[in-house]
Amino acid sequence: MTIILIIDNDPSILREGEKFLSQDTSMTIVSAPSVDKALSYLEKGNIDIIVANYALQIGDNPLMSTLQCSDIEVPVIFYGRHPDERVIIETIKSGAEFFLRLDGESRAAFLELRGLIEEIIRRRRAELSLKRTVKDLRAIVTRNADAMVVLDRDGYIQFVNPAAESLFNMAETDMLGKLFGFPIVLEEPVEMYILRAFRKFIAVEMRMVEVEWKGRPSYLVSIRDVTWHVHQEEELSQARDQLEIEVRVSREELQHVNESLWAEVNERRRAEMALRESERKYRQIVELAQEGIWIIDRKAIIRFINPKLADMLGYSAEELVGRLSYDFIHETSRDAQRTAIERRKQGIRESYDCDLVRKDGTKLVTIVSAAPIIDEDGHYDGSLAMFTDITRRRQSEEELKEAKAQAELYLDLMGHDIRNLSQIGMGYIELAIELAENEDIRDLLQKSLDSLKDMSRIIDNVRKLQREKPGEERIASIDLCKILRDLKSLYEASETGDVTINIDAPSDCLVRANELVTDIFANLIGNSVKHARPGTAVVIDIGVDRIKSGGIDYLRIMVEDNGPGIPNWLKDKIFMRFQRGDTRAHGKGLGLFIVRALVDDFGGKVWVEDRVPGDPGKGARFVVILPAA
Amino acid sequence: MPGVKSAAKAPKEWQLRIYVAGETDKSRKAVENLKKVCEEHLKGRYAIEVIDLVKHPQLAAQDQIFAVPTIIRKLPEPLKKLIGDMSVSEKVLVGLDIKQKI
Repeated sequence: MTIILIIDNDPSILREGEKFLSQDTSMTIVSAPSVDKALSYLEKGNIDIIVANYALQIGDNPLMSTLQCSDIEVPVIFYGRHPDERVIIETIKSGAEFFLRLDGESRAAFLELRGLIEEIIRRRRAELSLKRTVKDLRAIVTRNADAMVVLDRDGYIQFVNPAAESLFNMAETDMLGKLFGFPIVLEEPVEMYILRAFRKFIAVEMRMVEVEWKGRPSYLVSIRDVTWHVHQEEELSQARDQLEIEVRVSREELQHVNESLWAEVNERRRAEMALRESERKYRQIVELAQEGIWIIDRKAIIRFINPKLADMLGYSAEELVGRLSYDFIHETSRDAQRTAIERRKQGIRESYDCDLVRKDGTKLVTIVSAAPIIDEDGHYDGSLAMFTDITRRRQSEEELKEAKAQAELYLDLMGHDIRNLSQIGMGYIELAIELAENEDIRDLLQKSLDSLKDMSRIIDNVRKLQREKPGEERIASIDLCKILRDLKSLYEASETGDVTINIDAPSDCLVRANELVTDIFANLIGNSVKHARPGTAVVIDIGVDRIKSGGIDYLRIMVEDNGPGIPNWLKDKIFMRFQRGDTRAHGKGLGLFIVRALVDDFGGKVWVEDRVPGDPGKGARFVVILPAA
Repeated sequence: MPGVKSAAKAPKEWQLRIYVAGETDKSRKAVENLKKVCEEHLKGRYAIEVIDLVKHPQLAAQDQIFAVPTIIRKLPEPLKKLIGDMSVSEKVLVGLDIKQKI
């Protein structure tokens, strides 16, 4: 609907105007008989077009001037009767849309007016729409936060919006006409930098499109400051990097922890396997042990028992665990066991005899090796005991003791009774020799006597060996020189032959031995005499001196003779039992064995060498070393 | 003149200058792309001057550089200025008029 204001002080014109214009239903007619009335209508602001008599005036001012002064932008069509050309031109110049001549028939004039109004209204609407569009576009361009730069085809700046001035920190006048550059990439956003006032780099996203600017192909470059985004992105990137680092570190830590865990798991597995292996091994040892083993707690209750001990006692292990250990100690050992437990509490480990009692009531003789179990706090927590069945050993020992007693009885029998009998026999034979007149018979009797004497000597030697038992004879200080002197007297006085014994000894020659030491030298001198070359005077040199070995004082006694000597091959053997030298002399091979046994027992040494080194035939030298007292 | 000459000192038919901002990956890529394009189409006939505006900030105002990367074609005349991403060699070729000129 178009509202038309007709202004005229001629009521007939107003009526005709209303009549003809209102025939168009799209038009509403408002009539104003005066300019004042017209202005009051116009102030309401809904008038689309004014149709007015050009002759109307307000004071001296023509209507058009008044309307312009009132800022009323409503199109105006003036009309008048017989106007001159000058009036028409001025009216159009002053801004009127048209001047309608009302020279002819008024009906025709108003019809033309209707066509004019429609045309003006249509044009006016299009213009308003365009103005709005321009206004909107300008608002978009000027109020846009994005910088906008319009470039010509060569890249020269044609337009910049306020945001662009702000972004480049340059006035529009300083930018227009400058060579910005030809945009390489079109219609795609590009991240790049612009230079603010040619100094500061600003990260931007630039988008370029081809446009028409002032009728010429151009480029519209829109630039968005993305510093904040870039900053955000950088922060995000840093945060992401940091996160990645943390994740990596965490992952590495996790991996490390995982590896450690695996290592730990593997270690534990190994440890467990080792433990199992160890347990299996120990279990085998304990189960297969030939010793009975139990562990008792601090109250002497059996905590563990191995199959062997259970078997030794005649029970199953289950029957014994949890029972009081004393119940299985034989009454003869029970007190000793209580004492032993007390010692265990003091941390003492030891072995002792302990008799156990079997299920059937019989005694089980054992030797027990017991050790205390100490807990982590260092307190007594029970004990471990290993029992060895020594029933058979004790039986053997007893049998041995018995056998030994028997042997000693035989020896005593032989030593006393048989020797006495042989002495009697020898007495009778000596008497028979004296009485015998026949040489042959005397010779036979002499041989019988010699045999008896040999037998008698064997018995003496056996008795000596039997008596010579470690610890059975007390070791004491013995005056060796006196012994040697006695032996010298004995042998030199003997009727058996020409014997000379020279002794070279210090005044003090005490040795640590017992009275059997006499036998050592009696044997050696006896051997020299016995094995002397026939028809030769026997000379025995005995030298005694003091020597030191390993910080201990010894006496060295050298017994030399002028007999046939000891061949080298025999020197190591003559001290062996029943080993005799290759001599013509009689002997049963026990003499030097006894010598070695005695010397060993006294902690000394004995050996034989040549009297003249390297010449065995020149006689033997027996060297005896005995600890000095 | 600061910068790095990538070709011989003798005057070349094509004299280009590229402005970059610092020694960043983007800068290196822009220079590499330009070199690649020139090497393919202007081999032996070009000189590239690389100007780092971080090192030589005064050149931005002097040469009226509004954005980086920017390429200036000093020769052949007329002077041409290109801005933006150098990664699309086809666009660079067209922008510098290399395609028409070769």
